[in-house]
Amino acid sequence: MDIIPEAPVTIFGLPFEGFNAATLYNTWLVMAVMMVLAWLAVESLTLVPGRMQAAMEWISEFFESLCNSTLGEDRGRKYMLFITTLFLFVFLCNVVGNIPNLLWWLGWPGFYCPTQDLNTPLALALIVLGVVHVSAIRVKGFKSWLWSFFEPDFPADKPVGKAVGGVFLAGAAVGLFLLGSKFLRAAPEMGTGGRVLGGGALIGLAALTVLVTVIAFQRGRVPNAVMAPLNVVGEAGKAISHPFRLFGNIFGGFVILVVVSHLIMQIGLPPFLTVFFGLFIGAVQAFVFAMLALAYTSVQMSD
Amino acid sequence: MGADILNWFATNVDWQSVTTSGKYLAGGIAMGFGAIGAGVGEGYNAGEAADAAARQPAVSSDLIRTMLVGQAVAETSGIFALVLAFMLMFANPQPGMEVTGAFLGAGLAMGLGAIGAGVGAA
Repeated sequence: MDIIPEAPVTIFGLPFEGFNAATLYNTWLVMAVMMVLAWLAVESLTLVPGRMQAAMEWISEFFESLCNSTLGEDRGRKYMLFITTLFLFVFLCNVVGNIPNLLWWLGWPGFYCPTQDLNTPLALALIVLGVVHVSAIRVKGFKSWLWSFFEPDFPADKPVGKAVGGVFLAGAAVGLFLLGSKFLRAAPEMGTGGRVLGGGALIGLAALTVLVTVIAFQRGRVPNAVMAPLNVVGEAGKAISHPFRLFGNIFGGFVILVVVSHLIMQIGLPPFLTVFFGLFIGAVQAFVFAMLALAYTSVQMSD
Repeated sequence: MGADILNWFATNVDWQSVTTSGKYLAGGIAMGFGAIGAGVGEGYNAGEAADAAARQPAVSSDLIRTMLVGQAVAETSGIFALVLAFMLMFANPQPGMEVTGAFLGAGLAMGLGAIGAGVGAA
């Protein structure tokens, strides 16, 4: 059994290696299963629920109470849909790889967790990052969100503080602008795309610095420029550790399962290991993924 | 005498095997030290949860939920070390002294770094 999936799928001869066939097909399978489950759950809603409806209501109420207690009553309902979908998708992805392969005699390679491939958790974490910051901008306003990267800030009572802050910000804005324009006018060996991207990014940072100076004057507080890179790296660290937790648990669990099953000649132990690593760890990691997405949202929206 | 030793090192050492052994050693160091932090952090978390559940059995399901989330966060650095160990096992670089040093440095860094993160995140 292979740890790294093979057989890349190419689309129209695009200039990259292609998609992983196993991840692609199993993600489609999980999507189909989720749609079938959703249709079965709301097919005939009765006041006294049947078993399928009761199970779905249990999950739904659990996440609704969780989101309401974390985000408040009005916003909790909106984010509850996103968080519950994340949980269900990740849980089904973790479980689908542990279904036994009944068609091995036909040469079928069997099921594969989409979350074993790094791409799926990374894509989900990028989605969560986008949702967190866009909703923070929507709730707090763009200026407040931008200011939150420079917190904790200083009060600007004394003119010394104001002068130092103003000089620093003006110097940073001018310096970034000059760097960006030099980037744009750089030697042509860098390539147009790199030059435009780098120069544009630096000039954009200069514009942001000017905006931060304007906000500082409006609020009468000095931004903490030392904390800005630390806050940005902290957000990036959250966005990196979030998917790697899920990926490491599922991929590591699968490798341990394969190695241990091979060592004991597939006798006796593999079903128990499959239940532990597949169902228990899969459910716990899916729940932690959804809970942490919720926690990041509430942290960004609150202050 | 020093030149003889250096000469011996330059001619008789099989750098392929040194790099391979460095790779596996680094994987072992990373996972070995990484499991310390994860174990201590998760155990401490479970102990405190049991303590709180004994004090207030009514909210014990909420406590167990919080405990599981905290344990999963404390396990994260150990999982990073595990993924690093797997990646080291499948790496095939040019054999040499620098690569061996890089492997050992990566393993030590992740292993020792995971101690603090695991214990602290509990």
